[in-house]
Amino acid sequence: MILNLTDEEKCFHKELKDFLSHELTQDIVEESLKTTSVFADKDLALKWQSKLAKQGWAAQLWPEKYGGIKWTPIQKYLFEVECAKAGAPMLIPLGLKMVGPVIIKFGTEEQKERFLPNILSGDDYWCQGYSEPGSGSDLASLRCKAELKDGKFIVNGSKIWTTHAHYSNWIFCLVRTKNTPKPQAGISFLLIPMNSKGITVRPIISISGEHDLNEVFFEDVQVDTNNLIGEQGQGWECAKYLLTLERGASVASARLRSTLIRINKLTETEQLDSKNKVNTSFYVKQKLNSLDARLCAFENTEFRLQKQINSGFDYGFEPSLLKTEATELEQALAELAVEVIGPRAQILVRDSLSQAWPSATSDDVDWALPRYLNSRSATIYAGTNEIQRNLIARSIFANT
Amino acid sequence: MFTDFNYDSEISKELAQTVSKYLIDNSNFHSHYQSIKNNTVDALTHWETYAELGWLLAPARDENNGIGCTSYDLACMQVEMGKHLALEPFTTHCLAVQLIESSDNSTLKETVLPLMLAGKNLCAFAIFERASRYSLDNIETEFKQNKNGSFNICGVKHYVSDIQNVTHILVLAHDNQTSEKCWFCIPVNHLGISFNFYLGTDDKPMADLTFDVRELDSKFKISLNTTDLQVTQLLNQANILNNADSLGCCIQLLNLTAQYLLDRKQFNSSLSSFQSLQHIVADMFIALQRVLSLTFYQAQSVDTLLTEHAQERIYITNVELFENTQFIFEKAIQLHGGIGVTEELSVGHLAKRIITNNCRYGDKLFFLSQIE
Repeated sequence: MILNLTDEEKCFHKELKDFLSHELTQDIVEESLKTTSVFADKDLALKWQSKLAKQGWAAQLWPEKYGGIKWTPIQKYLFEVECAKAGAPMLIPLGLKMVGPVIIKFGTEEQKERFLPNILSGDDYWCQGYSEPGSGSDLASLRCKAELKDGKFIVNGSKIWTTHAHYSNWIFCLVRTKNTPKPQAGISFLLIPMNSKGITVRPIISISGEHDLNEVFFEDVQVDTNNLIGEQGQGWECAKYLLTLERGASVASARLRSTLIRINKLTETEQLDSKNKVNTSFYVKQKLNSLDARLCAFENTEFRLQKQINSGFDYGFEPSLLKTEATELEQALAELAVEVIGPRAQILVRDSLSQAWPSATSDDVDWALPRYLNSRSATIYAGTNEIQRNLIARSIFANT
Repeated sequence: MFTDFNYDSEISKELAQTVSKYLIDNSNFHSHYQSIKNNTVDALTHWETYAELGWLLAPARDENNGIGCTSYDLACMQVEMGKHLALEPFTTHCLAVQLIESSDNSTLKETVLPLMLAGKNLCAFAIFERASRYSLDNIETEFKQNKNGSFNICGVKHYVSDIQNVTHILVLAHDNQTSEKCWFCIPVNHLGISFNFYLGTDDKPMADLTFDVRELDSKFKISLNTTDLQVTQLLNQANILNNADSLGCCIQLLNLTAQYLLDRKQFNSSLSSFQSLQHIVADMFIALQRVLSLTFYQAQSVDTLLTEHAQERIYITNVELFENTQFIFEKAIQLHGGIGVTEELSVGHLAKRIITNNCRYGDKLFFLSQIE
């Protein structure tokens, strides 16, 4: 990757590396390597977040007056790349990168003062209430409703695929406050305390045996009107803004590069047969080279886009392009990792089973299979890749 | 049903239909999932019935009071077991019966085999070692014959599947002097065997085994001078039955996915009406046809495959089968959306069963390395 950094950017790059070498301790890196699902473990992520917050670097999408930092897209890019290289855990985006920016853009000053400091400190932990059992990719068809009665919203319905709901004390929800001919027009953005009476959380165990996801039920849950973000009916606008951030704000290539390096190392230790290591396999060499080249293309695409944003370019279909490429690369890498570990893929180390059939002895390759299984969701969440391709095609035809 | 196929013989048809009927009535995903959730997985729930229905006689020869089924017949039965996520160790049973029948040890044939066919004896295979992936060139588990004719066996075996309530372990070891290989049938309660139990990715009980067995009676020796070809043939048979199991999983995955797309509505339309999704289903179907054809091609040709070239074809077709079965379960998950990535639907369990089948007796990298 040829960066062609300015002197100022080089200076920042050095500061960043110095910070990581001091603050990113070995215990955090080792714990981070165990992450196999979309989000890092809550405690680990918050530990890292507190170090970044102390440095003033945790909220990169926020204005300085709320505790954010005014970084250029290139600085943000460098930050993600160096963190990935050094093995830092992913920050949980739900507060810092999702609801925080929405509150900043659509919320009142009172709401900003009330919510933003606790997001930054990690005292409030957020989950996202978007999808519903009947509304996945077709988000606008959501039915969870909030009716205004006696100065309060009364919420009834359910949300699904709610990551870390079992850890969260707040949920930001899209709710239907009005039935309108155009379904998007009747949606509002509501913040709800998770300890409200009438909320229940049901765990959903993933095929890797991990518990990250939940279903959240609302039964006559009373919510203060001052928890409404923006106007009633402005929820869809908030959601679109947030989805764009979700798809475009992160730099995925750096972590994919780290995974490729990790797989490369696996090929040096895993046996192909009684005499040879996996790295002698022609098939593996070819696949590693091919993924390396594909990743190189993606790194440059991402960087090219960051530079364009730097010069005032506005996002269009590009988030869809990045999401599609990143998630499909992630799956391809995870597939290769499982191929490399071979017979060890017969073992799935499960946290939940420990009595009659104990878990197998843990091994340093145990991340590969859960990572592969969890990566199947990458092309489903945040708009399936089929939907992303529709968006890309629509944009191409609109501009032809 | 579009995934029905013409059976090779009346017996294969009859056996497959009997298995299918029994499992439809007695084995459902809900109870399977509950047992996983409650940590009460029992892989032998229906084993007694398997014996009563005569299914355990299927792999045995006529002279041993068996049915003498061909690989094709057994594969037809295993397809149905894969469809219904049956946990019973049928493949292992077939292989164990065939191994003991092929030996020159009449004691084992007269004592252990009849009880296997009656469902009373269960065997597990201890073949592979961590340091050699699937290669049997340099297995480290070794045996030594003592002056009194008994044997000592030492070594560690990994990924021993179908381990629940086994009575005997079938161990492949080599002579520490001559490097000749030999199978042993060791009673599970013999001194010197330690177990590290766990559940496999496919929810079936497994273990890693450590052997420090002394003074094993020579009557438990299956046959000396086992050739690599004999072992390879056994593993071919194992892969064919596993591929048949995966075929059953794939049939089920396509049926479930097609039904889901017909039922599920988004954007006010059935998902089945979206062209991009239709194309994926069509590709799944094409892949399924490859799996079906190659599985039965392997099953029909396995007994005659002796040349090096023919063995290469087995390796190549295994790779093609693994790639296609993986394609099918990955697309089934994708088309189911979020629910496909959870434990709550059979789709994920069928996927994990295929993952396990595709690395139990050899995997893509290993087979490719054999032909590179």
